[in-house]
Amino acid sequence: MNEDTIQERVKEVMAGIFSMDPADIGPHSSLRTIKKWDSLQHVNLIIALEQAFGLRIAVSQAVEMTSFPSVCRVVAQSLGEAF
Amino acid sequence: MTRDDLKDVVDLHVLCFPHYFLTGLGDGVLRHYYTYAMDDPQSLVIVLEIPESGRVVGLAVGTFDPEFQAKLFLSHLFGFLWGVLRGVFMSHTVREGIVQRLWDMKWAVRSLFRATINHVTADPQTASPLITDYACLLVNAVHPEWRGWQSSERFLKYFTNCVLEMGATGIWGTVYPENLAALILYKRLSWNIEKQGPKRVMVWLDLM
Repeated sequence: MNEDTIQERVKEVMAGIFSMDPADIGPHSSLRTIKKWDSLQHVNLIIALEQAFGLRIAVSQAVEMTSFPSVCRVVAQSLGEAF
Repeated sequence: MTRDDLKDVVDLHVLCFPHYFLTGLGDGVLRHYYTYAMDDPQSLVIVLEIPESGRVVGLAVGTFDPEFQAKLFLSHLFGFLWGVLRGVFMSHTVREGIVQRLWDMKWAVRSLFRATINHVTADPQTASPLITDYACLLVNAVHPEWRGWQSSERFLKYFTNCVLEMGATGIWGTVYPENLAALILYKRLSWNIEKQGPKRVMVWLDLM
C-alpha cells in the first residue's frame, strides 16, 4: 500500500468518525482543529483504523496520533511502510 | 487472592494508580480496601499471578453490592478519616479527589433531574445501567511490564466470565477520559462507552 492510498483511506476513516468531508482533512488537521476529536472519539478512531487496515495499534502509538500526518505515519509504520 | 498476596496487591495498586484518590489515602487504607473486598461475599477479587514465582502482575475487583463504597468507608471510618486528613495536607491527589467528588455530586444531582424529566422516553437498550444485577468493576490493573501480548484483554475476559458465572447480567465501571489504554481495552472488547461529565466515562457490557 503506497503513501497516497494510506492517506486517502485514513481520510475516509477520520471523516467517518468526525462526521466531516474527507476533502476538509489534510496536513493541518489535528486535535486542535477538529472540535469533535476528544478522548472517546480518539478511541473510536483507533478501533476504526485497526479494522480498516487490519492492524493493531499499541497504546504508546495511539497517544502519538494527534494529527492527520501523525495518524498516517503510525498506520504506515504498523503496516511496515515508513513514510 | 489470598492474604499472602496483600502486599503484592497493594504494591501493584500504587504502581498502576499513583494519582488516584484511594492511593493518596495511604497503604493502610489500601490494605483494608482489599481485605474488605476479599472478605465481602458480594465482591470478587482476582489476581493474575506468574506461576513460577507467585508474583502478582494483574488485579481486578468487582462487586454486586451497590453500597460497597459506603460500607467499606463505615467499616474503617477512622482509618479513612485519618487518610483524608493526612492526604489533605500531604497529597495533591487527595485534594483534587475531594474537589472531584464534590463535582460528581453536582453531576449526580443534574443526572437525576434529567432522568426524572426524560424517564418516559428513556431507551432501556442505550440507557446507562443502574441495576443491581450488574457487577461493578472497581479495579482493573495489569503490571506495565506485562501489558501487551493481549494479557489485559484475556484477564478482563476471564474476570467477566467469573461475574457472569456469579449471576451478573452485565458489568460496568468508570474510567478517567485521559486513560486511553483502558478506553481502548474496553472498546476492543465491545464494551459500551459513554462520557458522563468532563472527568468520568462510564463503560459497561451486557452479558445476557
